[in-house]
Amino acid sequence: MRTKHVGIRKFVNEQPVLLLFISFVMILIFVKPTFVSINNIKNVLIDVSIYGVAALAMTIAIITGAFDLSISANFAWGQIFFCFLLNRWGETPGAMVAALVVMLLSCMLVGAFNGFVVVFLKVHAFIATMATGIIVKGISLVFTGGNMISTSNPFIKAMGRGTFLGLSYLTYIFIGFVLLAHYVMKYTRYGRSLYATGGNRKVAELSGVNVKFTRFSIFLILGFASGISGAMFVCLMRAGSVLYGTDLALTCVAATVVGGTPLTGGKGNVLRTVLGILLIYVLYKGLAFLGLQGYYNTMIRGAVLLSVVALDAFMTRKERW
Amino acid sequence: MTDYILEMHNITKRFPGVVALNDVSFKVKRGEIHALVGENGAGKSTLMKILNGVYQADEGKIVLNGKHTIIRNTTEAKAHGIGLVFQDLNLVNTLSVAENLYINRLAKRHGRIAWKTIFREAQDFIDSLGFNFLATEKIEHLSAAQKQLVEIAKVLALENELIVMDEPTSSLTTTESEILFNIIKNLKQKGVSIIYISHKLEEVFSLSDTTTIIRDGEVIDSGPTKTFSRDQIVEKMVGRSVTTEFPRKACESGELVLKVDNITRKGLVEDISFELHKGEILGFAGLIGSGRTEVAEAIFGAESYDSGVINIRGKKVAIHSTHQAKQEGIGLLTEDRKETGLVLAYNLIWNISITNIDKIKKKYFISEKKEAQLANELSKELNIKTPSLKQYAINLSGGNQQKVVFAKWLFSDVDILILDEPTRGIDVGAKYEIYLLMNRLAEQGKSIILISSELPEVIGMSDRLIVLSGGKKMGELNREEATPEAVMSLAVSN
Repeated sequence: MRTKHVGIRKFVNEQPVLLLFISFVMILIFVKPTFVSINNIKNVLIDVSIYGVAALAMTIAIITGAFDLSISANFAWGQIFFCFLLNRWGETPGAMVAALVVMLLSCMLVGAFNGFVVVFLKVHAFIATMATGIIVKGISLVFTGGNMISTSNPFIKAMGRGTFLGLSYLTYIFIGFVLLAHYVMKYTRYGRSLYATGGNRKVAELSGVNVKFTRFSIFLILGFASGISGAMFVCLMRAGSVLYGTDLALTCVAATVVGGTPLTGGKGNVLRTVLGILLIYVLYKGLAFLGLQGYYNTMIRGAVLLSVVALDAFMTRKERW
Repeated sequence: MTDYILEMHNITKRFPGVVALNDVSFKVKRGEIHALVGENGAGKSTLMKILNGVYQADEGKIVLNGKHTIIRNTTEAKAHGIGLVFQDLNLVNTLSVAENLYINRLAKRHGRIAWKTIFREAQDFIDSLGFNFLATEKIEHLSAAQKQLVEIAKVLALENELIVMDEPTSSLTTTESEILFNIIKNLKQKGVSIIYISHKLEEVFSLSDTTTIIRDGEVIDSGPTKTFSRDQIVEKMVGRSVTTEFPRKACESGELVLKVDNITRKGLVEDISFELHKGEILGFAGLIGSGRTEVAEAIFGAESYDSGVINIRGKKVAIHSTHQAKQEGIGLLTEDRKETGLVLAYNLIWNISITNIDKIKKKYFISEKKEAQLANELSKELNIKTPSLKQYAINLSGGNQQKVVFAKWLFSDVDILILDEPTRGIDVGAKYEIYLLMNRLAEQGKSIILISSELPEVIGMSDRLIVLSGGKKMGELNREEATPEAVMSLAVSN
């Protein structure tokens, strides 16, 4: 049974993550007022935007009851292949669009392969996508010989450097995808089918939902999103490498869970994930800003992630059902 | 020592917006079988959950064996010697029967689990109860009925003085029910008290010493069972007089809608053929395991079939998926509303609209307003009792959940409806409403296949009957020919 809370208690109970986020920022401001600068905000948002696109897809996948560990490798492959195609095909607008489309298609092909193995060969997503990830990483290594591929394409450079109203172009791209994902999930038949599939696959199937299609399509979305994230990353770094973004998949899962979407599927929403990934990156940057570099930072990041999720579970355990 | 093993005094329980129990007093004598009857949602389950420590009463007290007792959780209830057989199974599917029986007190020898002893003791116990399955069998390999028996055995193994049984026979066949009744009578001989909850009034009359009737959270009447007549109990349960007849009248059937020829699923069903007309209710009779559900699954595309031809409105169709079946206008209300009928963690609106999202769109996007409005119309039409459509499906009583399953398929606008055990485990009042609904649907030109294990129901509601046994069609009977004797003799003939 739901109980009614008023004011602050209700807020604490329903939005523990937002509360934590605000408290953490407050502490940062208190300890080091210089943290809140336009430049810092812009930089945090760039990271949030790049990883955020993949996190949106991961959230949708988790809502559907799927999971993808291969997006890290797919993300790196996207960067590498994009740089390669940009260098090869030249700097005309047509060539750049073609490079983006071909790269995205290659990433979606990886997704389709995942979908085929999980949905039709009925291999568990965890192991299937882990294996696919290793294969893709291997392909990237063979393709590059383990080296970084860079690009000096001026348009890419402009995309990465440019700002509008103080925010990077990349952030606007992310906002676009957030709105798109939110609308699809909330207001389309496809979105509703995804929720139903994750809520109870058997019931969904016996209600005439095309469960095979929804489950397969999720992996295409994951492939597409890792490609987009890869392209955005290239705009920022003007290079692609197997070494970039190896922790992407787990960061995306963390953002989803921290945002409050349960791993069991069928519930949650993408807007919460935006909050989740914001918290994670403010945390990363904030800790670095406080002088906790490198190894300590990693350790504390893990501990804080765990605390957030545990706190959320504790606060909302009665509300979940 | 008092005469009463259990006394629940003036129990009141409120949930936000509803009083689930209002000043309920309930007493059980030592060694009696006490039937507790009432419609779904009347408060029987809430009362038993308070006894089991799942809920705490807002007012009132529980006296066990003459001692005032506070039961805070299910562990405490167990410690006080209260055994409960619930409708929902609490078994670990991947473990054996024996492990489930003794799950938290496995016998040990030299610090290791003594498997041999456990399996032998479990088998002896199962045999002594008259159940026919092996202690070493994994739960997942048992039938629904056998699982229910394991659940019962699990509680009996604790040798409690007070046992609550909530609809223990809802998934049992007649033979297995008989075995259970004998067990219950034996327990009574040994001085065990049993609270028996059932919608099947025949059972109440043949088993119980005392009957308590609950309606809308209040005790309406309580007394020796033999002082009540069947009609009196029903009237007290629903608060009005109810006809127990089936409201189906013979009618002219329309054009041929569905024609099935020689459907075969290897090892399950063989060469099943039948026709279904517009506005007709076609009954599928047969024992549990006779292949009725398996035919339905094949037609609905939930499972594939090996051979056979399906014609819908004169057009031959090969059905490969449920999605496709729905587009061809076929819907299936599955027999297990909790597992396969509803997403229990979703609200009613989402559960209803799942079958036809296109219907709630305005131009390209879902309109939640339109969705709520359409769901609300259906909810009113079907008389679904709930404080709000935002309520989660899990919080509804069985009868209301079943109505939501109906609502969901009415929402889909399909015109061939397969109803698999549509009235299982729901009370007489809700049953009658569902019969009337079936009539109304047939009048609107929908065609219905009714699968039911309740013989009077399937005979009373069907225009025509086919009888299955061992996966084969044994015969087809029209309304005049379909006597219980005729149906049963076909049902056991293979």
